[in-house]
Amino acid sequence: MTRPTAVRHRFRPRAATWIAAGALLAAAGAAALAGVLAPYPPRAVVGTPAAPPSAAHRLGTNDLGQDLLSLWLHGARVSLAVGFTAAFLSTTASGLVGILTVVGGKYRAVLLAVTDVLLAIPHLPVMVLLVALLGPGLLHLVAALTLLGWPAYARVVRTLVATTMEQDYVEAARAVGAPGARIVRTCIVPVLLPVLWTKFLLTVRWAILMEATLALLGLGDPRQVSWGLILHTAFTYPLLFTGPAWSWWAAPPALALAGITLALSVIGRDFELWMNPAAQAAGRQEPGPRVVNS
Amino acid sequence: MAAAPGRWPPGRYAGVMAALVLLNFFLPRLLPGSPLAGTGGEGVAFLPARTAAELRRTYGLDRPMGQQLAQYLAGLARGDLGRSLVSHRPVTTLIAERLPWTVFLVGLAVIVAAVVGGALGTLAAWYPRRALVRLIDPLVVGLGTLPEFLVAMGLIVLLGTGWQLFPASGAVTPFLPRQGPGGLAAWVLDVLHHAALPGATLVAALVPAFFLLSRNALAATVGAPYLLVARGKGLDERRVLWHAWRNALPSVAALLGLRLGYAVTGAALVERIFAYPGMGLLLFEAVGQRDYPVMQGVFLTASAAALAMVAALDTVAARLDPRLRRGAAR
Repeated sequence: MTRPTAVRHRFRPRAATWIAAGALLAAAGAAALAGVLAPYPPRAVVGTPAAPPSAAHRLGTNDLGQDLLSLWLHGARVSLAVGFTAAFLSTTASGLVGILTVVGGKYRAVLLAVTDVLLAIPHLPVMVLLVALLGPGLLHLVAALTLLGWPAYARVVRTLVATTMEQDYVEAARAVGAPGARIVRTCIVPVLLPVLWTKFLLTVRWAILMEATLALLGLGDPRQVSWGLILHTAFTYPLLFTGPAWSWWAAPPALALAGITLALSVIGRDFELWMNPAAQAAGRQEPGPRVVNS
Repeated sequence: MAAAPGRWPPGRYAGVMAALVLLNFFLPRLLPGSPLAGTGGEGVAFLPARTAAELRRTYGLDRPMGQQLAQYLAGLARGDLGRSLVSHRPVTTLIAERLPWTVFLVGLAVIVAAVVGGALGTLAAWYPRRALVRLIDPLVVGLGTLPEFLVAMGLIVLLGTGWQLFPASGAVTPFLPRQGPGGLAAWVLDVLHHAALPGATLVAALVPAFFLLSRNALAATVGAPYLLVARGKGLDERRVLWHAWRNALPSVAALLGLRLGYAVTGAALVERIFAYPGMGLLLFEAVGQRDYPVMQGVFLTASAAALAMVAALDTVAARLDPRLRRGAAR
C-alpha cells in the first residue's frame, strides 16, 4: 500500500523569517512577562492624565492617567491569546467539517448548507450582532471568531479530501478492509496538514486584527486590556490628533499589531512554500483563499 | 475568496436569503442579551417590573414566537425594519440616509483599487525582470498587510493634521450650500476632498488582492501559444496585451463584484476613524447605544447586498467567460 509521502524541501529561512520569528517571540515574551515587566498595575491611575512620555512613564499616560507602557504590555496577552485560540479552534473545525462533508453520510448536506450560509454573510455585521447580543467577553469573542473563521477553508479541505479519496492508495486501503476512521487518519489527515497549518497561521493574523477591529468599534471586553481596547480609548479621545498624543498613545499598539500581522504573513508564506514547493515553481501565488478582509 | 464563486442554482439564493432572514429574527431572541436588560445583562438599566412588562407589550415581545415571526415577516414585506430604540426613527430611513455615502466611498475606492492593482499587476506580469517592477510586489503586499487603522493614522497625521491638505473627518463641510451658481460644483469638489483620506486608506487595503490576482492571471498567459499567434499575426503589443487581459478579466471582475458586495459594512473601521457618515458608522453608533433594530437592519441590508452581488456576478461571469455559457459549469 502506498502511503502519501509529502515531498518536502529543506527549510531555508530567509533573513525576513528570522526577523519575523524574533518579533513574534518578543511579543510572546511581553505577554508572558507582562506582570514582571510592567512598571505599574495596568488599571491603576498612577499619573496625570494624557501626559507625554517621561522617565516615570516611558509611553506617557492615557486620559485616565493609566500608564500606557503597562497597558501595552498587558494588552499583548489578550491580543495573542484571542488570536491563537480562535485560530486553533476554527482550524480544527475547518478540518473536521471539510472531512465530514465528504464522508459524513447523512450530515453532509446540512454541513454544506451551513458552510454556504456562513460564507455568504458579511463577517463584520454578524460578528457585531453576535458579540453585542452575547455581551462583551473574551470567550464570546473567541466563539464568534471561531464561528466565522472556519467556512472558507472547510471548502478547500473538502475539495482536497474529495480528490484524495479518488486516489489509488485509498482504494487499496479500502480493499484490504481498513475501517473508515483509519482511512481518514492514515490517508487523509497527512494530506490535509500542510493546508491546515497555513490556514492556522493566516487565521491567527485575521483573528488578532478582527479582535482589534471589534475592540476599536467598542465591542471588546472592557475588563480586559488589549491592544484594540487601547486603540478604542485613544480614538475616542477627542484631542488625539490635535497634538502629538497619538504618537505615544495610539501608535504603539497599532505598530505592534502591524508588526505581528506582518510577521505572521512572512512566516505563513515561508511555511506554505516549504510545505508546497509546487507553489514556488508555479510562480509565487496568493496563499489559498483569503480569509482576511470581509 | 479571490476565486470566482461557485455557480449556484437559483433556488440556492432563495434558500440562503431565507436562512439569513430567519437568522436575523432568531439571533436576538435566542441569545441572552436584550435591550431591556441593559448592556451585557448586568442590569445597568434598572426598570420597574411594570415598565419592563409594558415595554415588552409595546414591542410585541410577550407574544408567542410564531406570532412574532409572522409579524416580523409581514413588516419585512412592507419594507418595515422597525424603529431605532434611540432616535425612534424608522430603521429604513436611517439606512437610506447612510447607504449612499458608503456606496459612493467604497464604490469609488474599489474601482480605483481595481484600476491601480490591475495596472501594477500588468506591469509585474509583462516585465517581470525590470528592477523597478520587482519592487512592486513587496511594496504593495507589505502595504496591504498593514492594518487599516495604522494606514488611516499615518494619513491623518501626515496629510490631515500635518500638512492640512485634506479634511480628516466627515463627508462634506457642514452647511455648505448646494444651490446657487457654482454651488453644485463646489459641493462635489468638497465631497471628493473629504473622501480622499478614507478612500486612500481603503484603496491601500484593496490594491494587493487586485494586484496579485491580475498578475497571476496574466503571468499564466505569458507563454501561451495564442499570444505567440497574436504576435505572429503582427498585432502590436497593446493588442497582444488585450488578448491576454481578456483571459484575466473574469476573475478580476469577480473580485471586483465580491468586494463591492461586501462594501456595505466592509468600511466600518475606516468610517469610524474618519467619522464618515456611512453604514459602518451607523453600525458603530448602534453598537454603542445597543440599538438592536438598527444593528439588525444593517446586518440584513449588508447580507442582502452581498448575496445580490454574488447572484449578479454569476450572470456577468457567464458574459465575460464564454466557457461558462456552454454548460461546462459543474
